[in-house]
Amino acid sequence: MGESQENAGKPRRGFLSGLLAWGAFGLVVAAGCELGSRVDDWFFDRVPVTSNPTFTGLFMPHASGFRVGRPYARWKKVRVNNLGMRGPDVPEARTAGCQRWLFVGASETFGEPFVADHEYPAVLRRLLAGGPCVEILNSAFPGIVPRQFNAYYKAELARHRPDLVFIYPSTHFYLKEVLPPPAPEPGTARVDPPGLLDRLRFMERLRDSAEVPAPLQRRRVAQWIERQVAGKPADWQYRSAPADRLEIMDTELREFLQTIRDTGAEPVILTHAVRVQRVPRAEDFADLRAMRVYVPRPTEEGLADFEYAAAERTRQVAADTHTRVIDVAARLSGQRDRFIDLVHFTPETHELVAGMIADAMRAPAPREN
Amino acid sequence: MLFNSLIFLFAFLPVTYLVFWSLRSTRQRHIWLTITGYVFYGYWDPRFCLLMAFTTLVSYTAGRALLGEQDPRKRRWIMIAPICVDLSLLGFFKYAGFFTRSLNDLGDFLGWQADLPVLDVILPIGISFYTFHTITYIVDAYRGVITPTRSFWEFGAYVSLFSQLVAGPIVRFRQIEKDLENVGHAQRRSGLTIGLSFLAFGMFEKVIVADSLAHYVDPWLANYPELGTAGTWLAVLGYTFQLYFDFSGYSTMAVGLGLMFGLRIPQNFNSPYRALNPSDFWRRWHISLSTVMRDYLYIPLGGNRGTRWFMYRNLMITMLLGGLWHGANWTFVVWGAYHGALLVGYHFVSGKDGENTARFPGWLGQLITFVLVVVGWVFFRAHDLPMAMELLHNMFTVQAGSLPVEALQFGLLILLAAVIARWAPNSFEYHEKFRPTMVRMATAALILGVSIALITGSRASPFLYFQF
Repeated sequence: MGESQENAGKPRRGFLSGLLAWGAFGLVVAAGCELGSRVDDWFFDRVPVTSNPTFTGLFMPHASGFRVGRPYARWKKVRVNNLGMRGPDVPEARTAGCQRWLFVGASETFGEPFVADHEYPAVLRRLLAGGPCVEILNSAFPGIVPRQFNAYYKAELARHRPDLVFIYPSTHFYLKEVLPPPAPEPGTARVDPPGLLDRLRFMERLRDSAEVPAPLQRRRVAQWIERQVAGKPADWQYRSAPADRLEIMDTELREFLQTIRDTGAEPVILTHAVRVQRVPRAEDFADLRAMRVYVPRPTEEGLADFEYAAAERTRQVAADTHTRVIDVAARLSGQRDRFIDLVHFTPETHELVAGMIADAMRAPAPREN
Repeated sequence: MLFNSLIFLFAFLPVTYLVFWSLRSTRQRHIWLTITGYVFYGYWDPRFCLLMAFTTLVSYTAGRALLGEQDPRKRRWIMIAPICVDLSLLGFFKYAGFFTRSLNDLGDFLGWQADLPVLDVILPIGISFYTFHTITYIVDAYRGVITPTRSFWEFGAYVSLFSQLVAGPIVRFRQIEKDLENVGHAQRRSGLTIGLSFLAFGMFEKVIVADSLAHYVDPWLANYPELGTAGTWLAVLGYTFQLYFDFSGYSTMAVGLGLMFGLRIPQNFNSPYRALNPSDFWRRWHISLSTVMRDYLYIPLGGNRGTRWFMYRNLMITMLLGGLWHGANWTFVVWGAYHGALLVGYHFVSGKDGENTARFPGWLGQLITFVLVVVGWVFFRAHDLPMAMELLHNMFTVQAGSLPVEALQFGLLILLAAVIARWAPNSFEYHEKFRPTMVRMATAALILGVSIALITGSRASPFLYFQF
């Protein structure tokens, strides 16, 4: 095999030269990591080698104060289309003879960034292929709070003239300690440029693949929550669903439904499903606690109770306003294996939800008495 | 644990390496290699460490018994007993379900309603490999080819050596005995540079080539009924190169890792798609298995001594059992029978000394052999015989069907893989007269870097030969 006999009879390399040689070796490995990430992204996902896609790069500021999707942007497996939405390109103007269905929501509807075309609007697009023409527009983006749907729809989405608007509200955002305003100040939107480390695609891969050990992560979350709760009065915490927050949600949902109807579209509400039961099981607490990093004010029990109460209130609003409702919560809530965390679906669940929507749209719509 | 995982590359390997070289005595290093082998194996499922420990203990005891025994009859029983234990374990874990299912099917066919209970046992990873390690050890000890080791830890290190534990190569004790005995005096620096270079070469084969092909092959073959003739050929060709680079990559990494610890693991692949005929193919493909099958089955059966028909019988038995070794499925039996038939056919046509094929142009022989091997992989890859038959039907009749949109990219990858497999030097050719020059080490570093990037992406996959 040619086992080397190098260095035989040569003076032993000095420590410094050895260190330099291995340092150079490490640098080339690091360069290979970055090069490999870029070539891999280019070959399999058509991401240009020289670009530096980041999550914030998916967006651009809008005069309304919102961030909107940046047309043709990419990040991981996310491809933003010509309209600034996740999914394939859709004609700017409606195609004659086609229905146009718009999806409004947050990360649950946007889908995971690691997988392409698994999110339920994309699955629905595939399910409907071959039938009557339907253009699916997925306007969801992670982190948008439902109380801003109305303003966002008026400012950006209504111009796409949808026939149907599907709303999947991330209701837990109504438990934020300070609710964000219903609409941002015009002209205040910012999209920060990525930092140096964010530009290294290998670093992003490493962050994605590295997992903090579960006990350490639990400890970090617990400490963070402790800091948020410290010094607050005892009644500050929500131990059950707060009525005032439900009222705000109720009012704003009704307003949004009216806005949609005013633009000539028909709203369809999907109730928000969660992994946990209303009275949490022992295994539910970790998911609820993890969500408390975003909404520390409710206890685990309060958060679960609010989610169920919000789903009930959503059904009530739908009934009062004669809006078609797809009861995702009734079908899925409490089923642990349907979710990857408290609120996000597994790929199989995305398919199930898409199937529920397809079935529901074949059924006749509710009528006013 | 996988070689192509971050936990292996950044935790297991550095710790194992640094502790190994900080130890001074041969015994300490044997113990350390044994411990790390069990950690490596137990990372997948610690329960099966007991099984490997039991097999190790049985074979070690038998080896020690052979050392002091001169009576041929007793020696024979000392050989047979541990082999029966090993084969029983292999039979139970790997073949029990297959045989009972097959008997039930046969009963149904004959109208007997056998209804034997079917055991769905978890197959311990690598059992086919370490069982062969222990069996070859016992047989070689019985034959006097090796002197059984008195050191339990040396034998433990041999069986559980992490670099070749779960997917081979099947290293016979006699091939590694000297290195194991001298492991306390191994040269660290020369082993590290050449070992890293082998590791990088293996990473290139597995992570860059095989896993990139798998990105297309797996989903295409999952929807094989929808593929037309062109699509099926592309998928099967893709699998042909995926399998080669996957397994060859593993073997190359095993060689590199072995060298880093002062152990020379033999070559397992010698550019098999350059083979001139089926016989040549088996001298190049999974060399460690084919030589074990030759030395421990084909030759004891009588080999090519005697009449032609006797040799053909021995070839068929050897290849059928070789097929079955790969998996408890009729597809592997058919695959083995197919290769047996190819070897018989080749010997029938070529004559006893190959004189009838001497005038055959080399390129034509390579092409025919390659196509025949590709057809064989259909049985190897198919989940069942109906799938294999449908794939073959699609390949050899004109079928309309969909050609997925990524066909051009996939085709380019296959072309690249074919060029590398046919014309590029294999890992042992590349490392012949190896010198750790700046260019070579920079190339190795770059490949390692690119491979790590791909591992941290979403496409890294387990090695195909783990399933055997």
